Amino acid sequence: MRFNKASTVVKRKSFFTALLILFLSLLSLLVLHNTLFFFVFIIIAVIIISLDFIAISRQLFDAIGTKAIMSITIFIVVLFFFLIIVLLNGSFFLLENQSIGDLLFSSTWKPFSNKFGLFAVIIDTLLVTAISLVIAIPVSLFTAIYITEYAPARVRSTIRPFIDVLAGVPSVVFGLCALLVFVPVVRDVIAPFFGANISSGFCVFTASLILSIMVFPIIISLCIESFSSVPLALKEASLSLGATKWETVKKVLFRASGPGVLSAIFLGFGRAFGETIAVAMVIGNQELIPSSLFGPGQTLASLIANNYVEINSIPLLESAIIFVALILFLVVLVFNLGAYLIMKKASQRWKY
Amino acid sequence: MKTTHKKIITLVTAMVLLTVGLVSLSGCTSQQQTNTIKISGAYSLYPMMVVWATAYQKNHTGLRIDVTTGGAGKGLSDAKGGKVDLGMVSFTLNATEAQGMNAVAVVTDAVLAEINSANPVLANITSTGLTRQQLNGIFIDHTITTWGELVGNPSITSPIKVYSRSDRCGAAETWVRYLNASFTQDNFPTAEWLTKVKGDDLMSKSISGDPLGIGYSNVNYIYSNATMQPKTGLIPVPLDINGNGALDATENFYGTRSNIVDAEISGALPSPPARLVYLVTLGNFTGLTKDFVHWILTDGQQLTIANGYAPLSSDLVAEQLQILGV
Repeated sequence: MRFNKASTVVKRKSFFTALLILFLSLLSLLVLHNTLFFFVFIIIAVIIISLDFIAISRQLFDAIGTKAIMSITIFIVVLFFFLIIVLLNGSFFLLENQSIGDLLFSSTWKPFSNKFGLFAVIIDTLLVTAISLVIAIPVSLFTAIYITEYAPARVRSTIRPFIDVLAGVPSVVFGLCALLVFVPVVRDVIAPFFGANISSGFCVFTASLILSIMVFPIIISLCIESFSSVPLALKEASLSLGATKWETVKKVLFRASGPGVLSAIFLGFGRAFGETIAVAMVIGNQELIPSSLFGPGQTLASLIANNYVEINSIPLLESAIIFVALILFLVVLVFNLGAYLIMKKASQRWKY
Repeated sequence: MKTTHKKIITLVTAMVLLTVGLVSLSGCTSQQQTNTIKISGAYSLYPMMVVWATAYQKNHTGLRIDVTTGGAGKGLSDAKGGKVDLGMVSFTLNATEAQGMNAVAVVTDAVLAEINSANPVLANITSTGLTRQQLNGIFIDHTITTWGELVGNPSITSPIKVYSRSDRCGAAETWVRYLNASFTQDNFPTAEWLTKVKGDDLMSKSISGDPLGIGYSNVNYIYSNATMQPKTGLIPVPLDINGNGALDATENFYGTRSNIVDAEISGALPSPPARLVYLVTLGNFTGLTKDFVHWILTDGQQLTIANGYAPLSSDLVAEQLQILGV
């Protein structure tokens, strides 16, 4: 380092920045009464001013910059592990008191009797997610095909914004709509149609229905993108050999965009699996595996949403809720890893 | 003046003004924070607490009382965690819950069962009422599964759809204790024929939309405050308290909300399903909170009857004042 000549004026930009930092330090002292912040900000302002008087070599600046960027990235990774540690720490209390076998394979959830069996809840979560995907996948795929292959350009450009907006609607809005519209419809029309007269509308089916609606836009957008990226040459080759449009779609488009469609489905699964508030509003809050789709249930996420307000009243309950959160986290982690591996394999298999 | 100088002067003036403003405001807010009473908890006490807060704030300008709901379980949880000054709790605290907490009863309220106004056997139920055994069979044992079975008319096969509460609440505790004195909210079975909904409002809403439904709610959520009559679509289930299979004149007080309040005061409606509602706090009642609760136990009692609640007897008030420490 070497010092600039003393006649070098403090640069305008750094002067204003230093002034602002000084102002922040004053604020933190007078408003927040925090002397630590006051001193920290004063030091930062001094550093900013003095940087004008110290010339740092480009190489040194580069080294400092690289380390700074690296530490930010490490911070993100640390955050991930920190989250796991927080969840593990909170679950210890429960795990000391109950065996894992009881927690994961018993269906009795009665906090007041110290029973925290999660088996039914886990099965319900898988059930709700599976049914919502069963509804959503065919509908989304065919919509995406229509939009990319069959729709005239004007229709295509009109529909797409609607789908994008649907993807951005907050889930609590969907939950409210489900509560106000779907619950009575399922109770009065759909369930009796299938012979279930005893449904209150708050059931696994309603939750799956609203979940599938939330999953549509995700799968549709991703499928549209992967369908559009299939080269025209492939489709033209198929058509020129005499295949009909539908045969082209079935044999060429699906196979060529296989990895894309698969990743769309995985993303949809991720959204459906973790969806909390909409499911919590309509699923009926019973920790059991219903004998019909029109009976009440409870998913891992909705269990947390429906119980977090009472964690102070029962000590073990707080630990149990954190344990459920840990399970959710680990499942998402394992699922993402699995999805990544499957995608790699699929891209290799479906190369064209 | 050079532009740089102008910029510096504007910036410094703005910052000075802002600092002065924020410092003076921060003085205000910190003072205001000590003049707020935060209350949360039971849906059952919420309408009364809002009335009390409005009346009390009129005489105490500069004091702010924040009242929110969330259920009795949340009220207890918030009070225990220090998030609120008073928790509205409509059930009696058990030993673990009562640790470190203090509770005073402030008013009497009641929980009733409710059915839809389009119920297939409405006439039978409203004329004879339902006994404790029948209600047990509906809510707990599931030995009575159709409306026809309930009134002895096997031709009516519509199923009974039972609703309960998913949040920890006084309504559930009180109702289940009426069915069996040794039961708690946990005794509502985890079964497919029982749907659990969150909150009193959602319970009433579900029953008013389901002709075959039966649930339970606080009196103030079954009856409309404006008309004193049951809300549209809801009918309270009369209780055949002596179990003689008919609704005696002394047991028939479901016409208007004031009839029920009178029954609570006279004891015609037993406790449970009438019950005391409590205000709980962490540690002892102190300062502004203590003054407010003192006012509730004295002047505040006069506002209860008009709002659908029964005031405490004078013995009970004396007891609570002793717990309060006045």
